[in-house]
Amino acid sequence: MTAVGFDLIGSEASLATVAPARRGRGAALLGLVVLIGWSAWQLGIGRRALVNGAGWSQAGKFFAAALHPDLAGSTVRAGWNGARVTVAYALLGTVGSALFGVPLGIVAATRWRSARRFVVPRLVRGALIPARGSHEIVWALLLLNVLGLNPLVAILAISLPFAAVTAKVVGQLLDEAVGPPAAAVRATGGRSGAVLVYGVLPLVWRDIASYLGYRFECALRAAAVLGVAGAGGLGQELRLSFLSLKYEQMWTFLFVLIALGGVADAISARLRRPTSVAAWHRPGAGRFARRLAGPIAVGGVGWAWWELGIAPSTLWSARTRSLGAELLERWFPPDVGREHLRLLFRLAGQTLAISVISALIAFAVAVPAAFLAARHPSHRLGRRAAGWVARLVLLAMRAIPPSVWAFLVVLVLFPGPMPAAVALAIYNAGVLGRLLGETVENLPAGDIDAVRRTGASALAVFAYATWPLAIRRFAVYGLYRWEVALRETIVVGIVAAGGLGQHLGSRLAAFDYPQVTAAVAAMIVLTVVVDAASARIRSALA
Amino acid sequence: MTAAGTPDPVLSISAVTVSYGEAVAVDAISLHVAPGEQVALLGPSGAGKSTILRLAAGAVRPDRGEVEVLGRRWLGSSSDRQLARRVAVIHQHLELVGPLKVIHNVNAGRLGAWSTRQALASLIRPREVTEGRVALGALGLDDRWRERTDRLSGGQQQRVAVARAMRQQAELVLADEPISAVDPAWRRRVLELLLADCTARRATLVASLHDANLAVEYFDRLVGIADGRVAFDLPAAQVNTDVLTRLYGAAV
Repeated sequence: MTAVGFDLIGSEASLATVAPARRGRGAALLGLVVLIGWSAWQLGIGRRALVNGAGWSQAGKFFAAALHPDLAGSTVRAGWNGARVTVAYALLGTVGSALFGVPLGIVAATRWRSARRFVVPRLVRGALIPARGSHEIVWALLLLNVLGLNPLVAILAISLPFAAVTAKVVGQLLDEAVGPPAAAVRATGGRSGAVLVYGVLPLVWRDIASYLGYRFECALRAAAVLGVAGAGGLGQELRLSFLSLKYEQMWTFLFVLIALGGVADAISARLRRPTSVAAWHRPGAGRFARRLAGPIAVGGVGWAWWELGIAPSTLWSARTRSLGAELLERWFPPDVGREHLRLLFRLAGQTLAISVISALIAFAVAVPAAFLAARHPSHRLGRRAAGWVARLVLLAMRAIPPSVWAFLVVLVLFPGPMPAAVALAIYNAGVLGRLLGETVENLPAGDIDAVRRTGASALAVFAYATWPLAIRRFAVYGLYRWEVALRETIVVGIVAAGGLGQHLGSRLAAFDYPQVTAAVAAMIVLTVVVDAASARIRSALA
Repeated sequence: MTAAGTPDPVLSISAVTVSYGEAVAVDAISLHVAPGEQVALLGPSGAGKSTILRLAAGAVRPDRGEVEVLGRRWLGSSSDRQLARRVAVIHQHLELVGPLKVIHNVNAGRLGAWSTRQALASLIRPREVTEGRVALGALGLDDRWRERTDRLSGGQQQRVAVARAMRQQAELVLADEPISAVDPAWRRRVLELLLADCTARRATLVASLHDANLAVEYFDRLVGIADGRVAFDLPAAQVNTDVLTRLYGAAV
């Protein structure tokens, strides 16, 4: 059993091999510092007033409404219906990402093949980059043009980018799992297919299953985000009640969303726990759960299919085909005129700055929150209660979609890219805080205890053991979050003013498709650049 | 000193039983160690040697019986800190902080003696570098003091763990297989250093050892453990092949 797979939750690329030597560490860190300074300058931090005092009373009203959510029958019913739609989207989106992603991952992996011709894997990997680089919401807008108002839009919008990420992770898992068992199969004269089926897949399929559990957790958040953009479900209910300033109603939906997020997180955490994976491998243990897993999954998918009234024939209807052709015609060629390129370049800079500052704020919030949220058997009642509160706050921060945070943040901050960065930071702090909290819980207890046993004070134990053991893992997760934050600037950009997201939104509204295409392409290029920069810094830190 | 003139024991384990779930690790075991003694624990794997050392270090609570260390009991509270600094532990699994430099891991032995402020400042400008390097130098690691600890080999890391324990200058040193990972060329040297350090400071040493021959050669007193009980407790001179065969044979 490979021990991989549980570290990759922060992101999709964490199996990337760590560089053996830390080359150019100073240069990488200097680059990071310069990037942060430039980003802060871009967002006007310290150069102009950011906080709008006039908005506090509205924000206060919003949070006060949390104490008395709207429990009227119609609201609760809307929450229940919305929750069903959101869960159904997330379920089918996850299934879709598995159906596309796992086979693509197998194709993209290289080491199980006996031949050394890697044309196909390279092509697949290349094709996955734009799919990964486009946010769900971009996919949704694109698909909306072809499929019209149809639940398939949201499902495919989740499935396609998630499939690309899943394919990358599956490919890496497979490549790492090629070892003695695969060699043994090959030694008996097995062909590549036999090596894959008998020597590699059995080692990793549980890792893949637990990764898909994590994908479901992400899909639920994505479904809420798409809802806010108009796809239906809880997100849409949230948006409607926000637009009519019905904060009490909003909180009803938010509480449902937080509860759903809590359940999904718990399932995903359970699937990822190494002990539960070990239990999967013990004969007899967990047999009940194992037997039920299949029927539950099939039943869930059937229910979601029926709940959303999926009609797959839409996908190949004449109308879809003609709209698809029309789309290609209208969206291409992209507008790459000098003026537009100059604008895109400037906006890409702003988007980059938003992602850097939001990741930085999220990191600064998440680190102390993680220590507060991490559980430890030695904790007494009061400390345990503080941990509960911290975990609940982090859950709320990530369960509420960044676009909803953006609505709130624009109340108290002056318009501009800064509210977008803050909204993203709140959401990402919620995700990162939980991840880092789990990291703290999984630090090698013996190493820390050995320092404690020298009679060191609590602070000295922290400085000599806990912190040095944690900080590198923290930094790696923080950098992964930066990559995710960049993609999500699109979502908040459409709501709060800022960057390529705002441009994309306004060009779509103006039906200026050549510019939309160019903006999407610019976003993909930026994604590739940031992923490479992040990987570079990560390898320097290792 | 008691009235009879025998010194109070440094470590006193009286009729202690510890079980991990179903498995009984030590069974009503008693062991008393006087100041300055150098005691080796021998026995097959799983006999209970580590549990005895963990009891002494306060890392395991007795289910029954009593453990006294330096005349005190482990309380599981902050007052344990005073006791902890007087007891140095060399762990079987090294348990060093990998990302820290070697010198900081060695200095971790000083954390009980330093104030918190000194401890934090030392991470920026290491304190007592000379003393730390002397300890490392004796263990053949002088030139490695500025490296990251996890870049060292397993055997080298174990020597760092020994240096950390020596720098603690504790009255009682507990060592769980302190030379198990050390390369053969260094084993005797490390053991000699550890013993000489304890002798010079009149500290007490209790060590579990895999290699019975080394134990007979270097230690005053040998305690054989089998199935969680004391199989023998003899001066080194009286431990012969017969005694050892019976000890290791008992587990088969």
